[in-house]
Amino acid sequence: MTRHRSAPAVGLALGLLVAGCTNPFQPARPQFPSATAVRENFTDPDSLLNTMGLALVARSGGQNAYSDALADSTSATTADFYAFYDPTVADAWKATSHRDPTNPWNARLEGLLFSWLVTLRNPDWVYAMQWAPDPTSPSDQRDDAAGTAFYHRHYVLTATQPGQDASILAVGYADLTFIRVSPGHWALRLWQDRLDPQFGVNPTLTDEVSMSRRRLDMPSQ
Amino acid sequence: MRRSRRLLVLLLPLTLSLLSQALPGRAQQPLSARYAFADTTLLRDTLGLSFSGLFPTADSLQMTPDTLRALMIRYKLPMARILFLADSLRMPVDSVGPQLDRERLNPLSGRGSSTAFNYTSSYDIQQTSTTWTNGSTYNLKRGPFYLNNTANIELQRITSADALSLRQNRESTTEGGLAVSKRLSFGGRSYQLRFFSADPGATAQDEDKNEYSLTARGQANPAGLRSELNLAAGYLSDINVTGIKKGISSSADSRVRWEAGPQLSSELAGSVSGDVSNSRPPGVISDTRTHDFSTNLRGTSTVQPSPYAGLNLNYSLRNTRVENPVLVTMPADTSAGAPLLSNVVVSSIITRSNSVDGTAKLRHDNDRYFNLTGNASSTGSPTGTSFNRGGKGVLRWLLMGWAIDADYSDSRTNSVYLRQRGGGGYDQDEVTRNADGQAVRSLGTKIIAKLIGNVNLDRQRFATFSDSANPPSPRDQYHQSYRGEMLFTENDHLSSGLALEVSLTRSINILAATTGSNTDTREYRGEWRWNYRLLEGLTVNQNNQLVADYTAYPFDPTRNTLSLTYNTLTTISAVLPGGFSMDIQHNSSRLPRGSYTPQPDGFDYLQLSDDSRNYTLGASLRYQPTSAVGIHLEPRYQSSQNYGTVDDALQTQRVDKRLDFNGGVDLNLKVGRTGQLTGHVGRVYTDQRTLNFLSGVGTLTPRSQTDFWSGSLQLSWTL
Repeated sequence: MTRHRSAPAVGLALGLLVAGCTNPFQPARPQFPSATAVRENFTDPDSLLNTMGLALVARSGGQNAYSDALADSTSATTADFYAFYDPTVADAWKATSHRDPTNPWNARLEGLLFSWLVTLRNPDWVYAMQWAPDPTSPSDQRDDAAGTAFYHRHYVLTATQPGQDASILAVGYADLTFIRVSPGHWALRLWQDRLDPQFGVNPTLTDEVSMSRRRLDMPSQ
Repeated sequence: MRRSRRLLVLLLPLTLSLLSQALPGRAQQPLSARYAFADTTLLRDTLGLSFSGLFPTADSLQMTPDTLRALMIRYKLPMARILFLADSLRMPVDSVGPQLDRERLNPLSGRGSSTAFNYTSSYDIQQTSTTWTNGSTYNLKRGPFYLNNTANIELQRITSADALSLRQNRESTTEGGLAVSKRLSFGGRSYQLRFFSADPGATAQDEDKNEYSLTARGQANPAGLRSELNLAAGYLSDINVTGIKKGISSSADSRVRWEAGPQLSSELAGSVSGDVSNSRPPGVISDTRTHDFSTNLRGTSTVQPSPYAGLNLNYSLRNTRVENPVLVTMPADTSAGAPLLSNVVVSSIITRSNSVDGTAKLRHDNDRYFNLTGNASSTGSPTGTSFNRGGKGVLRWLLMGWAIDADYSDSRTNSVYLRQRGGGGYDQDEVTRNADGQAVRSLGTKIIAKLIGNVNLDRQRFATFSDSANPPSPRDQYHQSYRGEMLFTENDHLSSGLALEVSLTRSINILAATTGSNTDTREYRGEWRWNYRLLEGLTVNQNNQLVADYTAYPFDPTRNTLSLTYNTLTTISAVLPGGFSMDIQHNSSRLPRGSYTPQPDGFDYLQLSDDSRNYTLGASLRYQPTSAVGIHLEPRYQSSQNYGTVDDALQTQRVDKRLDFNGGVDLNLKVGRTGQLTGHVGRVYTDQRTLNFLSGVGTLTPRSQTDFWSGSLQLSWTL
């Protein structure tokens, strides 16, 4: 009688034992995505610049993060992002292209610039963006009460082919104005670009140009 | 103190084992509490039928309670009667009605003199459509002579944007003849179909089909065998917008049932039909010979050597070939400027559908059994083929007071999508596995506990056999859930239930290009409901729900969202003397949603993106002074407010207010001695206004109003 009652339990235990060897409900392991998204952090201007740098490293996966870092006029209380060209670079470009630079350079065009920049090199190249304090303008200003900040930075965007040395894609100085659009959320409002005199308007290596020149050279503006 | 608390963990197995032992009063309880959580609204008395015992009976018949209830209402038969008919006819419960209808038209079912006529007319009116249906059946028997006629006419008018669409279907079948013996009859049959459909801007469909055939029916019932054979052959004419088809058609169908005692039975039904026709597409003079052919074979066999073990086998084979003439225009040769020639070619469409399933049953009693089912099926059509096979095991057991139900199923499908019109060109392999488990037990005399678990995996893979094919991305869908439920019944006046459920749903794309959108959704659900009878005929019940859906994107750390739902539904039901009843219902819900975003302290916090609050107050009032006439009034008011986040602050974006009113008369009148008029007629009124906000400024949209008659009346009359 006891043996009869224990039969279902024994069967169940055997079934569980067999089922435990291979999990029939184990889903497949997905491939790592070709474009990894970037975790956005706009809680202060330094975090915002770091997020923009990570977005360029992530290339296509950083499109949203780079665009989200820029002030966006779709909100009623926020002015749009605006980038100023370096006057020397703009004049030189006008002389050779016989065209006027696109003005204003707004958030939409900056988003397109990102898409173009990250496709300048093959996918196996590694991008890196470095923001460093500007030794010629060391006095950053931040007014938390007014919700504004004014930073001076030297930037270098590099791309490295596997097994090779890094090469520069953009280099220069930037006077950056940030605004606080809501508590804990900053946005980049103005980018006043300045030429790095070490490289000049016509650098020896043609890729070692400023962001002003990259903006001017971007196709389909 | 800490050490003693740790020791409490050791009490857990002891507590579980005590719970699983016999509890006081167990002998007074029913065998299992399996049906304690069933939907009791199905048990409400309708049309004088009692539905007591619905759940266990439906369960033992392996059909849903809704289906069994619907069959009882359709044939207006009590449960005992419908079960008796199914047993005596030795067929499933849902086959009883069709079998009775078939026998009524069978000229060999008995001699004598009888006349039966039934007429039904129905008129249905809605906001944009009206449907008028007329149907009649006429059966005449005079000794060996018989005459049957079935006619149906359906006229439908649909209005959309001031354009009128028509659907008209008229169908009649008449058969008359002579039963030369109890086993053989001869006769003639006429079938007419007129179909017309017209939509503005589309080609009208117009079909005129006539069939005239000679028929022969035979049946033989030697010991242990019941068989019948029907033959028909005659003239066919089918004229429609795709062409004209005229020729000879024939059909044969047979049904054989064999029984060897209660242990073994088998039934086989098959039919063959076809036609040979001269056909031509519209605008063509000469005819082309076409052949249509179809076969259909289905059967079932049951072996029941003992009450404890049985085997059931079902199979079906179906093949059809339909040929139509098609006018094709093509160049006479490959040279440039070659003249175009028109040719009629025969388009042949072949479809097939075959299936087989078998179930082995081991049964101790209604609360202890194990079923193992295997199935395979295949289909084929001009668009592709599909082959499916699978298995399922179902276990029901009573174990230490727990009523346990468990099942596991595994299904595999291979489909081939042929390259056509820019789509297809690939194979699809799909595997679906599912496991469910449920355990129900009474804990004492007032509490019933229920535990449910489910895990499911669906796997889809694709392989192309055409260079230009673009198949869907391979993916897996995984779901698991656990639910615990308690039902507490203090007495006839008060009961309450509590449920907690957690689930995980994973949407998994496999390839790197699509894994960015993979999601893991964890849902936490809590429910609390109570029911209290305040007075005789006055009951209040409330259902409260709290649901939280956390959606994470495994490959996108920036996206992490939460969706919450708070819902409370309160109902007051009253039944007053004099045929007056009332249900008042209030529903309030709130649905905030948002994303987790990093804040200056380094942590992620929920920021709402939108929110909505909805309130509904409705009533259903019914007055039924007699069984012939009733009045119903159903007013309902809805209010909803939607909020969106602008500059990190929730702002009103839309406000909706809506009033619905539905009132009318329900009829169930006798007309003459054998007529019946049933249905309802009412007026439907809706009024809605919306306030849309932009930058904090509200704009009132024009009033949206509808007001129309709605109803459905059926008149049936029997001679």
